[in-house]
Amino acid sequence: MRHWHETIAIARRILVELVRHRQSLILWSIFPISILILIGLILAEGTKISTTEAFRVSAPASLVGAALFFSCLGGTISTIVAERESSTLKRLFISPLSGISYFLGIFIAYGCIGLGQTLLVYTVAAFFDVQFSGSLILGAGIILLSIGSYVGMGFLLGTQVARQIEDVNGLVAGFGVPLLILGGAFFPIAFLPPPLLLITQFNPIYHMNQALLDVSANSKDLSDPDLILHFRFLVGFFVASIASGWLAYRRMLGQERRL
Amino acid sequence: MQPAIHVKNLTKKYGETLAVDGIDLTIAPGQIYGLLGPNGAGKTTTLRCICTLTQPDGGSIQVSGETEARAIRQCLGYVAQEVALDKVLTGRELLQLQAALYHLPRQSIVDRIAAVLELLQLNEYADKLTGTYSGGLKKRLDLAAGLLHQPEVLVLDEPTVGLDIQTRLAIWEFLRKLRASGVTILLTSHYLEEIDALADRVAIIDKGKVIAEGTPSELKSKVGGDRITIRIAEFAERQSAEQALNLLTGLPFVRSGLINAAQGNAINLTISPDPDASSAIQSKLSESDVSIFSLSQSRPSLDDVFLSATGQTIQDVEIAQAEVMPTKKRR
Repeated sequence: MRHWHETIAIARRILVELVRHRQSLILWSIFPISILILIGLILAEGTKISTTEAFRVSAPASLVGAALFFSCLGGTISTIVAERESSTLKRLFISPLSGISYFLGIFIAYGCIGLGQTLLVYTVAAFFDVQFSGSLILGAGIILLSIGSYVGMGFLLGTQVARQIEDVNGLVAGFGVPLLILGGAFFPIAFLPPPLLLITQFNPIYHMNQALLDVSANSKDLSDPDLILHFRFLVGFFVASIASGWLAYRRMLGQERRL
Repeated sequence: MQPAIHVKNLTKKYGETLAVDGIDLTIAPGQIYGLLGPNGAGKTTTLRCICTLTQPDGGSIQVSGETEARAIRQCLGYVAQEVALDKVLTGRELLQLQAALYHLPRQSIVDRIAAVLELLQLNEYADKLTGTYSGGLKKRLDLAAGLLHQPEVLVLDEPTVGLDIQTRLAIWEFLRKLRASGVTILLTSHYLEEIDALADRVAIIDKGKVIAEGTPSELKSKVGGDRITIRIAEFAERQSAEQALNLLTGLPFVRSGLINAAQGNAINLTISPDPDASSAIQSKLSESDVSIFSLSQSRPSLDDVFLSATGQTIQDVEIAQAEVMPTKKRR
């Protein structure tokens, strides 16, 4: 119960901040919609498939490959770096707040943003006759695992690599954009040359995309060998991200308390 | 009676630097206790160790009888030197966040927030974003946040630094009221008059050690009578100052004297009360053709306590540190 109160307090604080910065809220809403429409239309035109089919393929990529990446990973890094820069982290450290609650609070806040973006993406996709055809529970599980992985990575990068707010854009662009391209977030990986296709197999974003695509567009379940492969990779990446994010956070606590 | 804070043989090293070197403190409940010393003396590190923000290398700390970090945090309020507020939250929202982090009972949160807002006269500003607050309002809100969970011990690091005189006086008044209500207050300051005006007891810290401890009046009375500072030139030579000091130590009312190199080899005398002391000093020096650049007489202050223990005033130490800093940065 104690963790729950603390977690909700931290999550509410981040969400209040987002709501107060209306511009950010609007941009986080426009971004996945514009990515979905652009990718969908380009794909339909470039590959001569139907608009519905193009949007069916584009929706998972726009969501987990692009929208959640920038909102959950970029957002987590920004939150941690901004807290450190404004010294509000110290206020939190002196309270009896536990590390688990802080971590979960950020996860829940970005989980809410991610779920909001999911609703937006699939609402817009529905206008192009796209339906989520597979298991909603499995789909939600994949989206939550993706959000958790991004938040874990955000903790790792925000605590260990980004020292100031100016580092965040460079980090997301330098680290993220190549991963997104290689993960099929902006166009299908079939366009990639063979050497890059090999790298893609080790790219977690590719597995997130494919897992959600298999469930949402192809109605696959966990009896399907392809989906199992992507799902296992995603679960492994989730565990690794959370563990490394947690260790990085503990290390940051030690460092910040020495300042 | 159990002390509110009990620190025994506290030590903390940063690399090769011994920031805190075996500090002992015993602070009774309901006192305002001041830590005084120049920047870098070890005050803030001591506070941070007490507040569990820094892990000490040695020694023991008890706050209200608690030794475990989480329990200490629950019974302690800490207001840091730099005000750190979430700019996009209102004052009330910030206090609500604080209430949640300290697990205040849901039914008492509204009343407690109303009480601290009233106490710090923040009602008018409670629903405005903290980013729009003035420096004084931010400090008051920071204090309110530190007090919300009704801590037995309030720790304040330089509580009035950078504030205007009216706000400073208002905070002093507030701290006195808080003491009257039974809260123990540990504060650091390098405003001597602040410690002198507020503290029931003082520990003067230099180079990580407590060099003097007691009530302000006890400490000042140990220094003795009035203090006379004489400068024979704006920047006198050491030898000339020593010659002048030798002349003056023969005067009957002079108890002790020393030369303060950091103040251009000024001569600091401690004297027995004597209304004619200044004129006698001027006569003695003019007999020997020693000119006087300036002469001032004052009651002993806490700075004199520091001076008598270290040979330098707190300000001298800070000026010397400021001169060293740029060189360090260039390296």
